[in-house]
Amino acid sequence: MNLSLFLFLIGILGFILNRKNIILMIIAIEIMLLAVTLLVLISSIGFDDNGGQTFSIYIISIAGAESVIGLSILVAYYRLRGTISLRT
Amino acid sequence: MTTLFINILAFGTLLSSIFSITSKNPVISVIFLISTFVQAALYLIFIGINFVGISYIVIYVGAIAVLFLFVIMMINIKLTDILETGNQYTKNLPLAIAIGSLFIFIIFTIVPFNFNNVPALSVLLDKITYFNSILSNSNIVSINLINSIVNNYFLSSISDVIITEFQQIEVLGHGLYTYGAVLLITLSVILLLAMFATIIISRNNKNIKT
Repeated sequence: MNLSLFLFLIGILGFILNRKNIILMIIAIEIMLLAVTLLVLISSIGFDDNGGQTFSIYIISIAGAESVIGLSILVAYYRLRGTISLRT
Repeated sequence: MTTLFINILAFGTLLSSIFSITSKNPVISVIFLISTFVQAALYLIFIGINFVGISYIVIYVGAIAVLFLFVIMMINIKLTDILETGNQYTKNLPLAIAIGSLFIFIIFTIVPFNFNNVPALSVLLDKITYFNSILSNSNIVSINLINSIVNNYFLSSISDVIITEFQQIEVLGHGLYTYGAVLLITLSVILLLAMFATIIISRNNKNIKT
């Protein structure tokens, strides 16, 4: 359980520290989703329950949809602005 | 032996996630992200969640990381834009320290920090309680007083048996198709909408000329 909590903390810190780089922000969101899924899985196997694996399947698919939409927004942004830097 | 592997994999997951956040080149960052996902999947396989661990490797490394690499290769980023991001750390550092300390405070007041979930240390604690019970002549040896998940789960060492064990996939499919069927349909609609949104966003729009 400590592993997933620290992984979530690393994801939050990466999201805060890299606010100029969209790709690293999406990567940090992926790391946070990985941490949440690990927390659900480890807790469910600790309770000897199987519902956590079902919900982890849902979370994995939501993570895939989220990263697809984020990267397509990134491509559209690059096509409009010519750069991906968030500096204004 | 497996607890040693679990320790190494947990430490490697944290280390490669830190590397993937702090690296400047996005390609190297994505490669460390792949390393994080593979190590987390191996961690899940070692603690006994086989099918979800393998599907982690399939989905994350096969779909999402390849998608990241594809986008990074498609838009050619000028490295001079990216290389300045290291200087921005000091500007965001107070906010990072504030949010990180607040997170640690909130989480570890709800869940108190213990070394019981770290398998090497909890093996040592198990040895101590074992010798305690020997010295005090009590029969309560097998009660694992610490809630370490890893130690009281039965770990078979033959990997073929682990992979071809069919019970877990069966139960997972039963859960997905009975009480999770509504969520599964919603999930498929969400994936369909994600596909439509990607096509519509990245369509070459002739009307917008900026």
